[in-house]
Amino acid sequence: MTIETTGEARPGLRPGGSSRLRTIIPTAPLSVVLSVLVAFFFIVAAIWPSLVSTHSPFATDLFNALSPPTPEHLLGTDDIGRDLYSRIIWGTRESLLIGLGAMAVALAGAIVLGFAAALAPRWIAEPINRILEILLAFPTLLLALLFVALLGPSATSLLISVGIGTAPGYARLIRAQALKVDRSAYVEAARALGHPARSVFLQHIAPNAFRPLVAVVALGIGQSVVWASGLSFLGLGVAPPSPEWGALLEAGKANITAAWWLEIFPGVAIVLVALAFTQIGRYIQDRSEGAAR
Amino acid sequence: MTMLADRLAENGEGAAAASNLLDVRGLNVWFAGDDGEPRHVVKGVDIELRSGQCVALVGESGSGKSVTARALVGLAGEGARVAADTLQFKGETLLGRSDYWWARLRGAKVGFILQDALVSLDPLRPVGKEIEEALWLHGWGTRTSRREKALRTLGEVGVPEPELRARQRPGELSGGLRQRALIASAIALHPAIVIADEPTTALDVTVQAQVLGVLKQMLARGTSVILISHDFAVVSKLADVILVMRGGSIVEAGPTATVLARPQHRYTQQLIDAIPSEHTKGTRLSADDRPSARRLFPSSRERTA
Amino acid sequence: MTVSLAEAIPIGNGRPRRRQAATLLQRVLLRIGFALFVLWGAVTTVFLVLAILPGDRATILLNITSGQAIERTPEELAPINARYGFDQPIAAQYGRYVFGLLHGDLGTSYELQRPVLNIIREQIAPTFTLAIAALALAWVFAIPWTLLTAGRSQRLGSFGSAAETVMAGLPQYWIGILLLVVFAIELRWFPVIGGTALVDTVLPTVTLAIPLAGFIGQSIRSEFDRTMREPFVLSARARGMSAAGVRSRHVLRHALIPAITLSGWAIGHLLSGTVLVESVFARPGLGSVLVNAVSNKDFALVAGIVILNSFIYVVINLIVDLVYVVVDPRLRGSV
Repeated sequence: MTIETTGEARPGLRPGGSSRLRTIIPTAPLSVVLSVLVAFFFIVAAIWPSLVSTHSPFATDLFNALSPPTPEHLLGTDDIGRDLYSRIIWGTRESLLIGLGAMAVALAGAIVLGFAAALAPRWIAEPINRILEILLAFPTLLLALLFVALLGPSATSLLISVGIGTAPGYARLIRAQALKVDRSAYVEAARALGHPARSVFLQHIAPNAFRPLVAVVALGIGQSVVWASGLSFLGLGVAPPSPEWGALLEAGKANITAAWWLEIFPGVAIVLVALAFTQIGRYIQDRSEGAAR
Repeated sequence: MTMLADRLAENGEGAAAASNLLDVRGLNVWFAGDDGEPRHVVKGVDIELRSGQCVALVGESGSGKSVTARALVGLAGEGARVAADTLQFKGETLLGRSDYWWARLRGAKVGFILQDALVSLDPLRPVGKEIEEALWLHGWGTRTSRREKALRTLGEVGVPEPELRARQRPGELSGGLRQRALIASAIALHPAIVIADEPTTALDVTVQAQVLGVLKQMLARGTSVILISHDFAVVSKLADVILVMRGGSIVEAGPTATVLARPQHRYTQQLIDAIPSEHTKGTRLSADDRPSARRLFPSSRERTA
Repeated sequence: MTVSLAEAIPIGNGRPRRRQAATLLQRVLLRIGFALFVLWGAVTTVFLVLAILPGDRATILLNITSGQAIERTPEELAPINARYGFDQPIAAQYGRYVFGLLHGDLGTSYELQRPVLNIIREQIAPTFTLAIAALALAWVFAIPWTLLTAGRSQRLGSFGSAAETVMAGLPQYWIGILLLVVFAIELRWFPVIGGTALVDTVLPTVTLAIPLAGFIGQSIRSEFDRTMREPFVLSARARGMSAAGVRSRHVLRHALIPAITLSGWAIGHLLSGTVLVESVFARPGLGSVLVNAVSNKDFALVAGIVILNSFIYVVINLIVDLVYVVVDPRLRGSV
């Protein structure tokens, strides 16, 4: 008796759920565990910087200015001898707060716009939909820049601008989700049974539309930190000598040929936060999608 | 001895001819299950196919007939495990063959027709190109001669105005035309065997008749056909031999007339009974022209539980 | 992306060509109308945002040009107000603005006191080349990568997908910094501060291309995997085609379709990327002009650039939608 195995690439024998999870996160638990650890570290750094930093962020050490990473200065020093690692740690609070704040602004706007676009009576929803389409035509950065120009560079204006810049994207998500729930069978049933519109909204639509939002928030925090730092990097946000990460990047620009670490490591922090939160957000998304099936 | 040989002997026919086109004994197929347990999808199937013969695999969906058909051309799917005592085409074994060997067999010696040409032909390609591709894959002729051959093949399957049709995409053709174009792409190289998996299922009844006509023509010209279907009416018009599959095994096998007239297995009986008694034209059972009233409307005493 | 031809999926059914052409024309006109609407909306939005800015515009203007941030007397402000029309009602200003736009007048830069259009015209070339080159490079990365890793084993697919996700998520400015440090400063293959010559363009192009390749790759891959399950793939295999052959000759063409829409979106948003990249590599172009304008509160210039970007975005997406009809003939018929 001869046995042979066919090994053609014909994917699709497995149904959705679990294999999708494995496709998106190949080593599912490990990467998520790492992400949680990283996120936790940064949250601690934000709340209690002195716990994890090695020096004061203001302490200058001119003797060791512009030194590369050494055991004493883990990530090197800047042009007046301040320890980079400590500055990054102390900058965490501001960077994360701006990211969170921007996310909050974006969500507030997105929730209002998204739900209105999906569920309001036609004469309200139609114009809002049109406005959304128009806003979506602007790239995030340009929209944010518009408001930075208005408000002048500062942490608050960063928060507002990045929030407004990212809001249309989230609004679109919420609108799609609200529409989906609105058209679902159980909402139809609730309406047929005569439940008043408000209770239908509060009891059915809102909770179900919000479920994917948790994942969106996690994904969004990472993105907001990236955008905010980017704006500071351009000199349009928080200014040096603040240890906010984007400001660190901007400050290091001048010395980049002599001291590469000043530009690379703050960026690493940004990337780590972004990746960690994105990974966590994706994981939550996959899990909640699986649960909803 | 196989079930088939038994039935043939019962009818007074000799033992199966020595040289079969296709010889399958003990075909088994497993799929990797979701929970790690392999699923046994095809269990010990035997098939014999002679030149010019039409063998039908009949059964409900999930019976394993499509998997069997695909396993015959080595396309059972990713993660499928295929095993057989014998799996031979014209005496050559099909087991343990390389991809290259299979690529030379498929299309040229064995053709495969799927159901619903709307999705079984590339929607972005003109149908003529699909036929030419079949020729090109086997190194046939030059570009011009391939184009002509494609047109001729379209003509063979009864497509009017082949020059016009060859340039159209499947979506632009009617159901019957595109199914015939699909058949053309499978027979362009005149393979000895054609496997047709539900060739008429997606079509309405009048068009079904046209497509069946094409298959009949192929049979008349000496091509052997393995017909997969759940529709007994269609099968009865074409098949010489019927194999009834259920749950992965063959529960009944025999010449068409015999199986339809005197089904031995209860399941076969149920399948036959499931045919609506009032057919639209063109699909009457041809095996037994005197439908027994008792079989169509069994009294409560005679109804099998 | 807004409603597009690509979302209406009718199937051709052999109707006479004339009828098909008429509905096609309808669709095209509708699409153009929509594009114009979005453009108008963008212009209005920019105008509105800038109209509500805090601080008196005439004062800001004087402050920018003189470099002093002081209070201004009404006599100083009056001529500026008159010249720019700041003292007129909002509706009149709006009308003037739109009228100017239709005639190609994007206003006058506060700081540089020159027409915005001229400034843009001078600086747009390097930005444009960068954007196009980055898009092309992104495709060059994405296609072979997806061809190699999609539609095959599960492992290969997850690996390819994970790589794309990481690439898409990296901040552009950080990739730029990394490349700058490694290739320009340490290895000295490229100059650190660049002009617009070819050698200066390499690193910025790669920087922009990497996240873009991630996005495009994701789009191609998901459509690829979906298409691999279509029956016509089996038909092609049954004709004797190899697995690799099916992937490249049949499936790829289908998989590219959504990625083309994505590219249209990406070009429109590419200006956003070039802003950051030009800053990292100290490369001249519209990006640095924009950054300067923002930090100087030169609203006319900022507005002009943003509106130009919207215009390009709208036009490109319109073209992409119309191109779809050529690539996918399923869209030619009517529902």
